[in-house]
Amino acid sequence: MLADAHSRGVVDIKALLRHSPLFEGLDDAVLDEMLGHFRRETWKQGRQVTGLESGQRFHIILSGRLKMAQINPDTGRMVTLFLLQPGDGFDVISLLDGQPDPLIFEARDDLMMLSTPMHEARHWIEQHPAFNRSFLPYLGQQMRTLANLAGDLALHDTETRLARLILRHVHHEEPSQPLRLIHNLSHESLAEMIGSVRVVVNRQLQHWQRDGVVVTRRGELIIKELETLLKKAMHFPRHTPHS
Amino acid sequence: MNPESAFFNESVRCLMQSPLFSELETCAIEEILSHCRRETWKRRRQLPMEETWRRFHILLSGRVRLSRSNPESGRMITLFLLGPGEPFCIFSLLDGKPHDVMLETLDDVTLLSLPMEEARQWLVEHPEFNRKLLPYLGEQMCSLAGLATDLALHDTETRLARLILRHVDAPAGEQHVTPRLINDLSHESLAEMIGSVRVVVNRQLQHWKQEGIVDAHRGHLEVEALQELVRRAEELPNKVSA
Repeated sequence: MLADAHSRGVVDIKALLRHSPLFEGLDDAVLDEMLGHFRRETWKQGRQVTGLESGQRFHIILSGRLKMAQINPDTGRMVTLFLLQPGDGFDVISLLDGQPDPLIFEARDDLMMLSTPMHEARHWIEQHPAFNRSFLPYLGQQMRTLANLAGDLALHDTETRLARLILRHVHHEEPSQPLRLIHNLSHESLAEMIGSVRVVVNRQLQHWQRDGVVVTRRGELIIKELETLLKKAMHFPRHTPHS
Repeated sequence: MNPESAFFNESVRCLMQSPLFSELETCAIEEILSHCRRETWKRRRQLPMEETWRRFHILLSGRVRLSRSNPESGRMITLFLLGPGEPFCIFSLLDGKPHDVMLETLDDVTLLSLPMEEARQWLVEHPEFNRKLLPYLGEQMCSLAGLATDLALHDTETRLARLILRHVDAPAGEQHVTPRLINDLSHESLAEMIGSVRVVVNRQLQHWKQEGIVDAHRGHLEVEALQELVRRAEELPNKVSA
């Protein structure tokens, strides 16, 4: 539904937030009051901002995708911790007063967002305990994403990690549909999501194409054999993309 | 737990010392305790989360680790090492779903437990708890993000150095410190916290020992040259309180 609003080129902010896992269930009046604290912000595709620059403001994505990553300054290698989509907020760790190592935020598409000073967002949360109803489950889901990433990195090889990444974004009812969220990403971006490098992901996808497990159509990865991919993903829970 | 119980006051005292619960009114603590039962679990007890996720637990003493494993390779990764005052499983508290982890006690532990639904209800009725819970969740997220980043971007030496530094709270200039929570763990357990194996951790610690960076003997780990360890962690910022 968020994607529909985006493709029509209009963003009904309230309709969008009502479908966001972060804000669903908030009353209209509370939502209006909250929006009064925010201003619009746009970032062009490819813009990179470090956590130190953006850490002063809390953002809600209205359209486009944002990569939240960490970098090893010595090697230049990057790992994507979150790929965020419309309805997501960032960065939640700073909002919670955590002090992560420096983060990098990169616009994967042109981004339309709302933003407010971090301290105002914190104050607003304190004043609105009802927000917990959606905020706490949202935090749980974000933490699961991190736990999955760390678990996969420590326990599985690249092929398994790539299979698990794809399965987390596949429409299980219609696997031949373009993947959710990670559709049309470059091999480099996919590699950053599983702690690997472009050439390795590239080789793996070619291998799967030869075996007929996936095909690439106009830059989109299409799943042909979901069962095979599930086998490669080893003990991957079916139909529970967020567990 | 019955307020008349011999353990009631002791449990109140314990929770008052936990950073998560310390700022709550005594009556709020007594109220949550009235929903709790006290349990003791033996050391090295392993429980899959399916058996525990319907109850919320708060550790009073001892340590618990939450890990995932690869059944084919037998390898294990510790996602959280929890100490006294810490709750689990926070994931299930937040979103009401089981979390795919194995739970293991590292010591004999005492803990409080209550049905997850009652814990969630208590949370709704005590929004003041948010002031502590949200920063705690922030820390837990930092620790997971740190683990993922270290695994993806850094070698074993750096990861081991960072693991130790995450468990050091030292005043500026101090060189000799004892890491909290992990200082008596086996090399195997340390390896499982950084996605490595026992022999590699063992070799690294021996190496650091020769260089005078740590002292490791009889299952006891001390940092001898904190500044140098920070350098090995590749200048991990902000983690050693300056």
